[in-house]
Amino acid sequence: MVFRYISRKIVSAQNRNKVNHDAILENGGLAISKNLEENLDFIKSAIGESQDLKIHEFAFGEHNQFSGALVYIDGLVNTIQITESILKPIVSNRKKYKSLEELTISEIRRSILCSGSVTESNLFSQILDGCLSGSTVMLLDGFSKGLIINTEMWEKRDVTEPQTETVIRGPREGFTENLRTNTTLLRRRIKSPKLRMDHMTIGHKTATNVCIAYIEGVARPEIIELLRTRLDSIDVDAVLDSGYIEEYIEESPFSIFSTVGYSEKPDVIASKILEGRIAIISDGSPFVLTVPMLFIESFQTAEDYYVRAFYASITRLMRIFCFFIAVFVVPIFIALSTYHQELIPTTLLFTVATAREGTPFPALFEALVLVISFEILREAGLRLPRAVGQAMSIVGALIVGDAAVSAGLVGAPMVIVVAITAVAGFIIPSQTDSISMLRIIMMILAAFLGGFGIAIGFLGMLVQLATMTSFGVPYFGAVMFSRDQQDSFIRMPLWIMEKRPKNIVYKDKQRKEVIIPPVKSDENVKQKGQDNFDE
Amino acid sequence: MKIDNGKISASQFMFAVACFIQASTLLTAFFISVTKQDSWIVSIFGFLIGMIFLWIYTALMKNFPNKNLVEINDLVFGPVIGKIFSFIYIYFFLTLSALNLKDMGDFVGIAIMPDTPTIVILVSFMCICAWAVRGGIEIVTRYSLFFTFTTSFIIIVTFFLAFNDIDFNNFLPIFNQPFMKYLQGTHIISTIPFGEIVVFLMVTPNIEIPKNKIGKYFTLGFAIGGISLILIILRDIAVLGNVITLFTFPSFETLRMIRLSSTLGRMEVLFAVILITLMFFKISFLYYVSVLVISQIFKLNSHKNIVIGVGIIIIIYSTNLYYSMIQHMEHGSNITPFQWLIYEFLLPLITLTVAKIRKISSSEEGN
Amino acid sequence: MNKYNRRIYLIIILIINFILTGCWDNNELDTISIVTGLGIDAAENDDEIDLTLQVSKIKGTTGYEKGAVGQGSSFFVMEATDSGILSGIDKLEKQIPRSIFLHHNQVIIFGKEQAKKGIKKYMDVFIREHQMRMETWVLISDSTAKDILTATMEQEENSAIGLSKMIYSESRDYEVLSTKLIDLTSKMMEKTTSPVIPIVTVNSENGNSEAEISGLAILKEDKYIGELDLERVRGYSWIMGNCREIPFNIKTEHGYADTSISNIKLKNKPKFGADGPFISIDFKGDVSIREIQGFEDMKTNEIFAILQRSCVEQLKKEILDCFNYSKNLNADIYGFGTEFYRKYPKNFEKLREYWDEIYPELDMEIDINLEITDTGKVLNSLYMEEKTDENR
Repeated sequence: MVFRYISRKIVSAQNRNKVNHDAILENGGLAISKNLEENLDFIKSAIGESQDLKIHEFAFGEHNQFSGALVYIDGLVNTIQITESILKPIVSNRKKYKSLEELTISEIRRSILCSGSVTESNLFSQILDGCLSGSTVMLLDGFSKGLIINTEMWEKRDVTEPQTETVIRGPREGFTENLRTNTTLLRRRIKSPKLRMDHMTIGHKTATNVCIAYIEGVARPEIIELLRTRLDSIDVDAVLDSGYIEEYIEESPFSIFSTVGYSEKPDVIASKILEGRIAIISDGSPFVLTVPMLFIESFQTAEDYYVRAFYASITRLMRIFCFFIAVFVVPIFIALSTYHQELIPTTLLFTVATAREGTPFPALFEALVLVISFEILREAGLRLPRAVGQAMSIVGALIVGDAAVSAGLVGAPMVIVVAITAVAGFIIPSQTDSISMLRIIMMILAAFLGGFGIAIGFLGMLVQLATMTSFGVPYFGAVMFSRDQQDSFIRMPLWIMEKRPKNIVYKDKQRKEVIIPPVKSDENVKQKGQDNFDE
Repeated sequence: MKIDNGKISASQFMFAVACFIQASTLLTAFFISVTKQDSWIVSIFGFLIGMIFLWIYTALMKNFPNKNLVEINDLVFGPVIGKIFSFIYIYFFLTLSALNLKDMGDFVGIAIMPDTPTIVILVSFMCICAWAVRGGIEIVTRYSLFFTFTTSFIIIVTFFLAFNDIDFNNFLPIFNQPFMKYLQGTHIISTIPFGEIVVFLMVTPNIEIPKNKIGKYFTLGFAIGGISLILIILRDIAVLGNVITLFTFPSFETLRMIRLSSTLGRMEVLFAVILITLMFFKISFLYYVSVLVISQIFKLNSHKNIVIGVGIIIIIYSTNLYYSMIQHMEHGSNITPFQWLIYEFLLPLITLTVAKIRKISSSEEGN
Repeated sequence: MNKYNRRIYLIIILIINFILTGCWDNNELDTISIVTGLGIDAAENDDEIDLTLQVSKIKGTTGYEKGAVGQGSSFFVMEATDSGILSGIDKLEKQIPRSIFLHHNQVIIFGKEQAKKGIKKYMDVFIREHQMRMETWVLISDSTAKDILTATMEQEENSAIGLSKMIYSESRDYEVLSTKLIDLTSKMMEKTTSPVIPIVTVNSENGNSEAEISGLAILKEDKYIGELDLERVRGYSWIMGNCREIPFNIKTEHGYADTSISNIKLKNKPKFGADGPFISIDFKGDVSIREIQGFEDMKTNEIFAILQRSCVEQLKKEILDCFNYSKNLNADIYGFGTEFYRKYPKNFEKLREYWDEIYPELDMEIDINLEITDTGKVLNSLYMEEKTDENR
């Protein structure tokens, strides 16, 4: 029953037609009338008696014979700018306009206003949109056009160091909740004129600004097109974070692996864009999405490229290894201790058996209890204020774990194993969710089919990864021979990686023309150094 | 009409061939029991004979670069006789999948989980295979490189770890058995692991290699597989000596012998790991090919619809193939090689000859 | 039935498949008793055996009461009399609440009585049964297997594990003092070779019984016919090779020297001479002097010459002593038959049947080359220091 209901829902969503949700108001498509009062009444009725809606009426002209009004939302606009660059010039203008015929909207725009970004519009929908997103609307009596003047300014967070991806070496800037700031951060890194930032609005209620950033010629046009169509077909009333968009554009919604990457760091996003990926910046979220995302990207961090290649490669291999530890160590322990005791070295077996003796629950149950209680602790630690969270984890991890062992509820080896996997899981932040789920699946498989179950689970994971694509690009292509290997399991020195990833990039494949090793201890340089020294 | 549009690159094809042969190298008992300590010589002979098979397949691939076996049969023998030939291959591929599945099930059932009913093991294994087969050729061959590397790595590492137990005198005496035994051994080896690469004729249209390089990659992959086989047999004979003929899984016992220190040993898990992964590759490949042949003969639009059906047939077939391991071994060394020779050597050879005589080739049509 | 619906059903079926079908082989650690040693003794009835299992006792440590460990013995021994090994184990399994787990069996011990009766018919189960591992050590007890399995060891709680560790460390110096199941099987399959198996004895002193290795038992076919004491084991191991460094004491008329022979390079070539087959042995080794007593008033060179000569003589004597002993027993403990088979497979086929008659007549040619390479920290000795200085 439930399934039928769910599936019907899913199907109806699939077959949905694109409904025209443009109408924030039913009459949004209406044109502005010439009568100022009528227009203002309309706006008032559209936005309602909101306290933050300000309508400033004024008169100007030689004899104050013209009247107009500024409509804006308080708090979204820069009031000083309104005064200085809109009201002041227009009111203090002493030029003689005899009649409306002499004074045109474009005349005002061109010669009176001192504001940068001004657009003309004769539609209520546009005017309301502008008003609600921080612009000031100027309506004049007797004109069937309004001016939308960009006066956006609101409270926002400064560019700070991101909380999620901290680096020891490398830039410390992080994205903020403001779309414009974020695009600026990107522009500042990529000064190429080919960097495109296409805007669109998603969500009928929130009308969130979303920006797609990519480099033309590097990003594949078909992927851009695919992304555009997917973004266009998003039929939702609210986009409050980029996470909302992620769920709508990913290709394998039922997979536990995520096919959309994210980052909080502009340098990371810039490097992804330079590799031919497309970034999706959504207003109100410091997390910028990138597509297509490959599995191996979870193991790449910003710092990999800022430290030398050897160390970067070692840490990356360690991260991959940790993925396996995090997923497989608990299941392997369960399989070994309940199915394949012959594989445990004899002395170790005695140790494990001693700890096992007297614990009441089966190994799977024991492991599940520990893993789940660990997840609870983690969740609790995240939600609590930081200071309390730390105390929490001490109480939870140390005291409860210790007490559970000494009370004989769980065996000490199981605690150790679960603790190791928990720590290892944190090394790959972007896969933490999939790791926790995989771990539990594998644990159940291991408990029911032993090592064979783990093998089945592992192969199943491989098949799942192989069948997945992210925007048409194979999700897990890192097991093939290709030049993408330069930056997958290990990271080659930067001067060797002369090409962008094969699967993603479009035409502009070359990062640089040839492989140029860094300057060798050149004879000239030496000679020069010697000369300087002599002098 | 192409059922699967997946493409596999040159290196993937190469490693798929290597992986395919490596998968057979782990179950060697049926010919080691025939030729004993000279099995390694026999496997070299078998490798060389296998090269002849390889040459026939390469010639067919070059002659019909965008046709697979079923299409070649139709083209060369006409729709009626060609269909009969293709039907014979359905039998061959299904039997081969069932045999390999049985090998895997036997190993897990005997060595890892003696109390678990084999059908459970087979069903859960085939579920994963079916998942891969549904994804098509790209998914099936995706991990060939990974599997080949892991296997080669494990073979080399265990070779060194076993060095303590290796006694090269175990190879003596050389050539001290009746000539017919060598002939039999060579026959078995060339047909059972090596000749089975005839299945790659089914995926010719999916391979993205220039015509003149197919031979090179095919041979390279074949060589990797063959060398792994020879290495494994060398290691097993050197470690186990004359006892090798007793065991059903010689490699498994060899790895059991490895001992790094007084407590660290028990390496047989490595054998189990590579056996299951390689068998996964081989079975899903054979499974895929069976599904492909059937859907092509019956002119289906997609192979996906019959995946589960064919899977169930394979499972049931494999549970009813032989009553016991002994019968299986007996067939493996005495009957199967002769049967396989028809599918692996005679039919392709006839096809090639007829194609050459009738001067049929698809490459000219295409251009 | 649409796509998603089917997928959900498939997942449910898979989950049911796993949950309802799994767990057949599931053995929690507290449901198995780990066997560390297995002993086979002759029973009163000729067709039956006394089976002894040493099972390690796992004492639960709830929490941190570690102090409790170490009190009482850490294993217990179970016995059964039956005609087969596995049926005996089945019998024992009914006596205890847990199932018997043989994978970690360290040693297989045959009692001397049983060894005299023959062990071949009990070997099959060790090769066939999956729980048995081919690298398990095989031993013969000087008395009964039960005595060994009930004995205690100084540093090990568990005598079987202790024995296995002892053999392992022993086997790194004297490989001949260790016999794995696979070696035994291999030698038994060779037909001409007589397997040797280390003998363990129990010394009962001051109420504490200690197990130790006291020699090698010689089996003809599969029956115990004699044994090599530790002296002869050395003579045996010279020829079997694979030893790192063997301490070697020489007594000459001038004095006593303690040396060790290392870097042994050995070639034994089976040959067919005029009066039948013989073995030629080429022995090369380095002697290092570890201690010298006596040799007063003699020059270094002289001492070295004497030492070298007497080393060779004594080595030869030891080798031949052991060889002759084996000839008396008519037991080809060296596997010379196999050597012949490997070298001359065609000729040997005819000889194989008569090997029992040939072996007692087999000749051995020994060529020994020893070099004194290492004299320790000093070149000379305390006694001859001044003399040699004067004579120089």
